[in-house]
Amino acid sequence: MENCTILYFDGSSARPSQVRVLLFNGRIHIHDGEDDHFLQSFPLKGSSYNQVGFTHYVYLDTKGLQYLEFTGEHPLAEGIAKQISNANPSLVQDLMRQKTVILVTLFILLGVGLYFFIITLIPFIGTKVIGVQEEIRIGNQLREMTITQEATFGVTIDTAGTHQLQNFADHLKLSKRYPIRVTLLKRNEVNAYALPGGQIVVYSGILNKIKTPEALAALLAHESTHVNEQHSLKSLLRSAANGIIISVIFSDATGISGALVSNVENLNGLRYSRMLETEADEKGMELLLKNEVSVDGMRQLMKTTLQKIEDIPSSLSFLSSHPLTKERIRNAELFIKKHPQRPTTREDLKIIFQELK
Amino acid sequence: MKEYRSYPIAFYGKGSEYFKIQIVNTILNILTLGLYYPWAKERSLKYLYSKNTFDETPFVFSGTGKEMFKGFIKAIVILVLLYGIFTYFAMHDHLGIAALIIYGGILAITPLAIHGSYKYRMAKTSWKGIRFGYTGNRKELIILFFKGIFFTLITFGIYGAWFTIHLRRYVLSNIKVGNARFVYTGDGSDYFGLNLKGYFLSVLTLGIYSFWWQKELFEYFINNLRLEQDEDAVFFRSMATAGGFAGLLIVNALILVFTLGLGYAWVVTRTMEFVMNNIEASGYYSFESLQQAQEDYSDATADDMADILDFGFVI
Repeated sequence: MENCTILYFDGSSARPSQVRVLLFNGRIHIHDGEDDHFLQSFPLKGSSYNQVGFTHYVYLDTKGLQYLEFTGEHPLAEGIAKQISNANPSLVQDLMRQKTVILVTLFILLGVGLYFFIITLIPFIGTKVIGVQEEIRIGNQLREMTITQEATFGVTIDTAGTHQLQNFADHLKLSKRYPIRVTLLKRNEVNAYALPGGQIVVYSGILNKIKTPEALAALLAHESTHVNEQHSLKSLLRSAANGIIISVIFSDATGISGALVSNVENLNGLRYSRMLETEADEKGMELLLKNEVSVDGMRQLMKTTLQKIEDIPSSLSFLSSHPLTKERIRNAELFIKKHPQRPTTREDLKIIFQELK
Repeated sequence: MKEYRSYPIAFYGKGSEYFKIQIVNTILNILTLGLYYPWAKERSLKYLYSKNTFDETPFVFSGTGKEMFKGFIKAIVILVLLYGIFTYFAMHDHLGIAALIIYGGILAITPLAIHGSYKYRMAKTSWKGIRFGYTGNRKELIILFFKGIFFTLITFGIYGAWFTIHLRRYVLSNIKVGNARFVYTGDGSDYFGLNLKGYFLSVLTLGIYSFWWQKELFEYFINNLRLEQDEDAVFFRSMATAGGFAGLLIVNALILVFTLGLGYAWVVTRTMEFVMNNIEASGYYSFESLQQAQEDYSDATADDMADILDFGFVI
């Protein structure tokens, strides 16, 4: 039991009065400091505590309007924080009592677990829920957006080339589920990419570098695998999932972990992208086999189009969206060894290819 | 007898303490898939308020997670509805209508969010047991807001300076603490000149002047603010220097970059400390004459909406 004089703010004005406080039966009893008459009592449960410098504050109600103020030298200062904390037990209090190192470890474990769970779950559910027709529609819309965007940089569609390239693609069985639609853009960059639902965009830069119909078939087979395996859709859903993780779960005042999750996703997204590229190479070669096109086309494609592009040093390969070219050529050579073919030439493809060139 | 005196302003929070709060908040957010968010906000705000002192007395934030959770759900429902209608039109190739709905919707929500958010935050802020209050009128603010947007659009942004100051003057001049009131006396032309000078000099000096610009903007905010009751007033004055701002902003950026965002708690406490330690208050006012006069208000919908849409709280 403590008997003492301290300042009491009663919530009606900012002028405090001097009081004596008795602490018993889980309540704080307040008596007038001058004539000792009883003023009011408050339960410890529902009260809260703050210390700033040497001054202690005990808030007597949840609104924080009525409170006591006293200095650290006061006998009440000792132990009051603990008594209030004991009277208001909560999981948060228990967690706050843990060491920071333990909390950070727990945070990392939970964060990583949840991140991988959501980043896997959303693309999985999304690809199941979004039907083929819907995917085709999304792909068409994205194609329109891409072309509009490219047009702002002066890039136009090569209509005749697109027609011939489409003809080339139509002579291959590239997809059972999606209609493969190819667009050739007049742009010098050595690149091609797949959009959801069967849309493939090829730049004239890569086409100019391709010297054989087999290499062109390999390029289309590689991009068609991205389509068949829904890689673009999965990547889109993955970034959506990432957005959800950052904005909903880690959103605490734009804070602590939003930036961390972004950084993790940037690196992990690249790893994911390399994984998809490797899969597209491998399944692309299987498509070539099925179409009776020489699998060597894939090796040629990489040698002629990719090798001149500087790879980043292998020690930094985790920072690349694509596997290293050397590694891709080695994989292609291994695949060719494992799947020997009779030497064949698809005359139909050869004719269209010559027209295209 | 009244005497002229200064009122110390300080921030006593520590990065390490705030970091612990943030970590616990994040852990609970993860475990509850984000539903803990309002309680997390309560804890963060309670801590920051409790370590901010004016005249050696800390502020109190008395908002609760429960109130903010109710507001959070209502805000989410409103936003989901808005995005739902937007998505419906966007999916059916009515991109014009979709854009109109989303921009129009957010624009319409903004003054409501500012009004409600100030009403809630102020009602939940107290000092020496005296509640703050926001007594602005919703209709007046909406008219002020849309008039400002309209003139800003037709003047290609030039009116923006006057718009900001009118909005700031309206909102800040409607903040009360007990029976005392804040008054903001900024002027659109001064603010425009300040920004024009700041912009061009920053461009000319490759960004170096931006710290002086920042200092002047802060000064313009603080030096034009006063608290008054009848014939008594407390005036605020900025002591911040451009060098101080440079140190704060550069070190904050380095902390965020080198800790991959984990040092955010220190960024917050450093910023609070800088702001509070660089405001001086002085005048003839005895705070003992403050009386409880403002009403309580517990609807946190607008406050949560402002949070979700990421509006800054201070105008």
